[in-house]
Amino acid sequence: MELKKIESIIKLFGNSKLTRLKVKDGESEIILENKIFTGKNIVSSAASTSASPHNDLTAVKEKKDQEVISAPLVGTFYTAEAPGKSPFVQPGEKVKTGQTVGIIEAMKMMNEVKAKKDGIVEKVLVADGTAVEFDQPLFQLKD
Amino acid sequence: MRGIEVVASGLATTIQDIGRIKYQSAGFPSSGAIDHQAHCLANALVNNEENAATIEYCLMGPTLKFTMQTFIALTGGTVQPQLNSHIVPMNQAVPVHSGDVLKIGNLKHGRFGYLAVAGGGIQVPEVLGSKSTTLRIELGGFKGRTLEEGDLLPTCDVYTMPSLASRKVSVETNNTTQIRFVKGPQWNLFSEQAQHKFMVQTYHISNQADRMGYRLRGKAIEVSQSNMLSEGTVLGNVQITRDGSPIVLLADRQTTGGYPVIATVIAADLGKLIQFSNQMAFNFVLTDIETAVKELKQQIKKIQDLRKLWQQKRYMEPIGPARKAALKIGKLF
Repeated sequence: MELKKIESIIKLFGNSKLTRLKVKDGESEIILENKIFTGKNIVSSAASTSASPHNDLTAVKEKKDQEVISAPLVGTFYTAEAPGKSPFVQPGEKVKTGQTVGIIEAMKMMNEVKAKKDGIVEKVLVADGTAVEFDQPLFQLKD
Repeated sequence: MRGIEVVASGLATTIQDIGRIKYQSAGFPSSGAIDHQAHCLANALVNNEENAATIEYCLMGPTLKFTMQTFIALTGGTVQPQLNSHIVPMNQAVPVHSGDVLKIGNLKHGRFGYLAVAGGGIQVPEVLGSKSTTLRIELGGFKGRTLEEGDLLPTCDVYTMPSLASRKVSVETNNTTQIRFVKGPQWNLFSEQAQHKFMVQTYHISNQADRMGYRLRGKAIEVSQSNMLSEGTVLGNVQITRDGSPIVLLADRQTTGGYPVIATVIAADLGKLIQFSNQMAFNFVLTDIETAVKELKQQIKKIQDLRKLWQQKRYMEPIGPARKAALKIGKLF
């Protein structure tokens, strides 16, 4: 396939709402997939499989705003109080507003990450000991 | 008592001025604002002396309630401060009134920010000639500690501010990744390869960073294992520890040190360095003492020129709030 042709296919695909596109032209074959879309889709499909893709997306967006605990500052994220100790929370556990769910170490200071609302931890999005950015989602919650 | 009430403390929020510089020979760390320039600019914006005590916050800014009338300015690391839920700009003198709540919020860029309050800053008692806090020895500032919820910081009522309308400076975005240094006292103790390595490699600030010093991440520098006598430390000294990693000594540094000092970061570039994030790659560039002095003088002059400008403009339109009585009369009609 010509490079120009591939380019125009990518452009078309980018402007469309498709999640996957397969083009076969003689010997060559090109498959385009919108990973970001699918990624979100996977998260939401766990919550509801029946809704249409469009509705799923908005649902996830709302979820992101309300049901994610994000990093209040830049630093290193820890799931437990000390190495070897059990984590503050595990997936499936209930958390209450103000409960400590993790620790972020920054400038040699330990800062507790607290839940902003009640919920159940669905997923821990960041591994213990990783560097996190400001506002990076750490936990996914569900009601 | 009137003043500023701490509603939420933020992270490592302390009272700082330009430091307790005269007692280092007796072993007292100088402390003071870690970003000296940002502290001085904040004070200039609200017509304070440069040594007036400001509130320094680290990564997470505090939330404060004012129980008096004054003017404030926020400088340093980027924040999106809200005064009674309205966003207020940084690097600008802003009037505040009794009952106003200022939420500084988290720093989006940089590590340290400053809040200056007109009327001579935060009125904490001086200890050994300074209002700076040294946390390690619980000295000075507000009871020698970081601010806590419920603390009441004494400040003075201020009703007038000459040329209020022009008291703002643009927020500088500095994209330079070069930090200039002059040769340290033990420069010649390092091999030529080690000196070269120090200058060509890129460094990052490690997690081992606080107001005392920043340990840097990079390839190890070969260091002579012979012992040296401890010497007095200087702000910006770059020590090379036994394992070959550099530590830049900052505001709360110990007064003496026994590791060889390969370099001293020039004062004009220290503010840049201390605000770098962990992800920022930078390198050291050799300069001479003349340049170092010239650059620092320029920085000082910049703030002095602003002060002069605001002073000159005080009788030009729009005239800032100039008389307390006039304000009261103005309110009547």
